[in-house]
Amino acid sequence: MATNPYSKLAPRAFWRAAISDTHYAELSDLWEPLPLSRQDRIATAGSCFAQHIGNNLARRGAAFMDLEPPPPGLFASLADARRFGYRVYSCRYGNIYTTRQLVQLFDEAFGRRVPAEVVWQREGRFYDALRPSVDPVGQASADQVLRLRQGHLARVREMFETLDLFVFTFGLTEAWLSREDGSSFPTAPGTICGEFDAARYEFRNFSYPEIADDMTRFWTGLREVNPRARLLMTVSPVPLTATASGQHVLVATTYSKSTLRAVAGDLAKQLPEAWYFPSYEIISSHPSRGMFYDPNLRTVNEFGVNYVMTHFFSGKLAQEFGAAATAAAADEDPELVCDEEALERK
Amino acid sequence: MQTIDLQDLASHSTPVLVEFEGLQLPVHYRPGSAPALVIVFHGAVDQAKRPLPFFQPHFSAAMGAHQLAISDPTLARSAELKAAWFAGAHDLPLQALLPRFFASVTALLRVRRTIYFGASAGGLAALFYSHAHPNSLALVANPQINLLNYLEGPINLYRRLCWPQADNSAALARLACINVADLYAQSVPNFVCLLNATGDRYHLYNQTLELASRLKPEARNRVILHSDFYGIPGHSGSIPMPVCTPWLKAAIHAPNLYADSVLTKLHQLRTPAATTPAAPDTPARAARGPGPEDLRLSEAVAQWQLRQQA
Repeated sequence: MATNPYSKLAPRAFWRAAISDTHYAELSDLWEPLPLSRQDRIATAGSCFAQHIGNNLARRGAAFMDLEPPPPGLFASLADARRFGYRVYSCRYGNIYTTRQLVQLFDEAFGRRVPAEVVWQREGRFYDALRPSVDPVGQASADQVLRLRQGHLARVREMFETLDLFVFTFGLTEAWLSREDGSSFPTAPGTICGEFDAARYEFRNFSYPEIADDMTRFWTGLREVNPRARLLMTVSPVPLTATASGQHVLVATTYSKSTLRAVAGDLAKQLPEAWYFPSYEIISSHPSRGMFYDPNLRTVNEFGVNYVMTHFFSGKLAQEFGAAATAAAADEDPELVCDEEALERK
Repeated sequence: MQTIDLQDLASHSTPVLVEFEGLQLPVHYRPGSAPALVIVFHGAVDQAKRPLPFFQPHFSAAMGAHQLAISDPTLARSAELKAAWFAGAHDLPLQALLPRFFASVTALLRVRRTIYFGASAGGLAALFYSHAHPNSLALVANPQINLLNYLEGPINLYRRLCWPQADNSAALARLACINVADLYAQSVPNFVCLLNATGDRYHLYNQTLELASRLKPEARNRVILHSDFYGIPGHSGSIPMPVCTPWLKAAIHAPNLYADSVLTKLHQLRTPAATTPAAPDTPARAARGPGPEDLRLSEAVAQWQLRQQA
């Protein structure tokens, strides 16, 4: 029988077998899980969707790093603590939407960079412009913001030096930069705090080469201070809230996600000890028919998160972490245990 | 595991064996402050994965209710056994004994409202024991109703290991209650809130509908039947715990447990199911400016952080 390059490929290589003829809840072999054990210290950062990954890792018994835990007894609930930036990522840096933000944070933590502008104001209160979301009401003085930032950077440094796996979720290509020194802010001046001034800030829609270069510089720096570090990249499936690119937000979202996806995929091949996990595809590709989105078609519902994490903990990771689902975080409901499928096994 | 008297239950929040009428019952108690008790039954347990005694984890937020998770002592008969529906064995009369045990617990804790919670195999147990406790509520997810209409393999295994004198399922049905539809067809002295995932068609059509079809019309204001789809087809995991929590909240906060009352409370309490990532203040919230409580909290957080840095 004649053969061709496709004749010996596994079913996962064929759309009909892998997608058309398979219920979406039963997709398999979407990725080859990286080697990971319960002892590996895992840190997360990135855009909103990375929060879900961190929470799920902790719930499944992974050694999720929390270098800046909340003060004991101050918060009435986990939700309150999260409003102040605790229990969101491995440190209180808030969302890191762009690779420019990430590499600048890394450089600042290791004394390689000093941002020109750190403090923004609103109504007499002072905010950390590089992580405004972690402090909903700001501080009484600019000096206090700066002192708190130094403490934060020490923890970030410790995190990078001691982690075994860094999980980063690419979020956006669009950012607002300081014209003075190129500092990348997570939010546009004037949205949460600060004041927009076109003479001081500029909009930038990062391109593939810029993003790839930022990420490569970050990864090179991290491997210098921590040679055992590994990298897992994902792309957030959450569309842009708004675009300043001048394009329709749907078009801008597609550009942004396509670019980030391409960078992540290429870097996973090029960089040592780097992997890509396809959470973006699982949630946002058309075979899912949008069912993993909330009615606003933007935020991802809990079922989408759970489905993504089911794929994350597949293969050898299922063996390592599979039975740990009952160890839920204190403020979250545990899973209903029902080994019903076992009843049908001989 | 420590063995204790029932009177000492309230001072133990780790799993213990409670001495009761000559048996040792494995329970895991979580204290509460409200005059309500949630009794939690587990579903099928694959002993190869989960060692006994296994407890379905408590609700993390039970609105102050006491919680008592119980592990089915019948399972200890054999590692092969995955479900015994808390129905006991020929020499383990659970269906007679547990109602007295639960009555003793409710008296000890002085609770005024008792909710029996279980999913799948635990759902049948919750329906059975709630029925034995007038004016309690059975909150159940994808429950088995009639084991005579269920998978033959597990029923036969249970019968062979626990009721060896019963030659077949019909004989087992004369020794233990394995069809709660029979009970509810007679009377509904309790209340029921039954959740069945729409994608779990096996339980919906083979189990739940039998219960529904046999209820007397006058019982219908005591029974809520709710079916919805939560993204997971089939049975296992098709009703995630967070789906049950709002129903539990409604059952605890409703002025009474009649169907209309619980449904109305559920509607009042209902919030979006999806988790919301931490996010910056909304523009509207930001426009209102910081409140005094947030300012106090922020300062306390900052001072704590600075002390840690010092």
